[in-house]
Amino acid sequence: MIDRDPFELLRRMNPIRHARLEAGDDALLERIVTSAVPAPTPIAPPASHPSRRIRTIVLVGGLSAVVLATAAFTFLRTGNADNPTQIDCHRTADLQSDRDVRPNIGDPVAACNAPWTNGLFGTNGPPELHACVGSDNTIEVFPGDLDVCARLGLTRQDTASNASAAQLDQLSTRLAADFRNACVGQNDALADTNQVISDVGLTGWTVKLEQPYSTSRPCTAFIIDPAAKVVTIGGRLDITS
Amino acid sequence: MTSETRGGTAREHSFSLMYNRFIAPVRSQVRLWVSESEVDEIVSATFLTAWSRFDEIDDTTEKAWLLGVARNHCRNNARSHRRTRALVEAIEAMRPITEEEPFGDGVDPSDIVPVMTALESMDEDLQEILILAAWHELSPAEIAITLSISSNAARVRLHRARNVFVSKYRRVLSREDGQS
Repeated sequence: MIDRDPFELLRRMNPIRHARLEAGDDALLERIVTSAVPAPTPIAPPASHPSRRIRTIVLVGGLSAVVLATAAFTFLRTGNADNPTQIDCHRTADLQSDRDVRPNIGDPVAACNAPWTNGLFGTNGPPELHACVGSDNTIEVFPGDLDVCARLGLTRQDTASNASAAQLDQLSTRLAADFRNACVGQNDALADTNQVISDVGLTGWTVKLEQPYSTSRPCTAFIIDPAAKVVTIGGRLDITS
Repeated sequence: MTSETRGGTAREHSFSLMYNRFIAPVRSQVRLWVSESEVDEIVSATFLTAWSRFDEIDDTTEKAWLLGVARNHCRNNARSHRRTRALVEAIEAMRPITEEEPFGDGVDPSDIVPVMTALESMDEDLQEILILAAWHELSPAEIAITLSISSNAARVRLHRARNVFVSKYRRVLSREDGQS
């Protein structure tokens, strides 16, 4: 028995190749492509192009050297992770410290209050926290003073440009109320979406028209992308009647 | 799926092809990562993300990309309650409705216990990479996409996972030999 390759045995025991479509799969597809479903919690999509990943690694490597040499300058810099889809909340001001990974749905510092109150890091509330841009397209939040990012060789995250969780929640709720149960046409939907964005106080957001409206798709579906600050609207089937 | 969807835009058509091709393997993998009650939510969120980012997906690495998105959703939504069932039990849940052998064709039943015991005794991160390679047939470059690590790191980690697996498998066999 020992002569056989265990990996080959494992490969032959593959249960996944027998997986089949299940009841409800067609309905889910229908819902995804036709109905007004807000995008789920933004998630870091894996890199599709290896060459792009290599470029990123080279850049980060080079950047670290520059950061070490110009710490004073780095301290003043702020930036935005170009794909801030998750937040690493650290227990201490150390890149290797225990962390609580949370979805990025708004203000990272606010998101990282939770482990300091739910018992994971403590129950007495958060210390002073600051968000930094991590080396792997993440936002890293550390306890410490304003210099904490620079001391760790990172740049500070420009949190002022991020929408708060409450704003995103309002945006999603209001658009869903407007578009989910009524058939709103393209022009009204564009105006309404811009108005809602303004009402909830979001700045720098745009509305993108993706899927053309037509006689068979006269109503509005929408997707919110907080990372890109875009609300995409498009025509959907009239399922309200 | 309605005829209207089938007759929808080119984007919808392309997406539905990808969806139908990969939803079953994605769901199967998600079952290994989270408890059964969370599977539907994670799968739904995964394909919603895919729909919203469909234009960014490289069609040569769709499966790896989808598994990566699913894994991130699992980490974010369910990290505090990791898989609660035994691996074998989770695999049993993948059993198709038809009465096919869940562990594939041509497998000697006496091999199943030592192989699954060895697999289940591995650290979760090594177990995960081994399953991506063995059952999803992902290359190291694709595993790198799923796990958001470099190709080199994926290659090294897979090599280590295989070594650990072989070592554990042999230990299980020698224990069995000792008992008989």
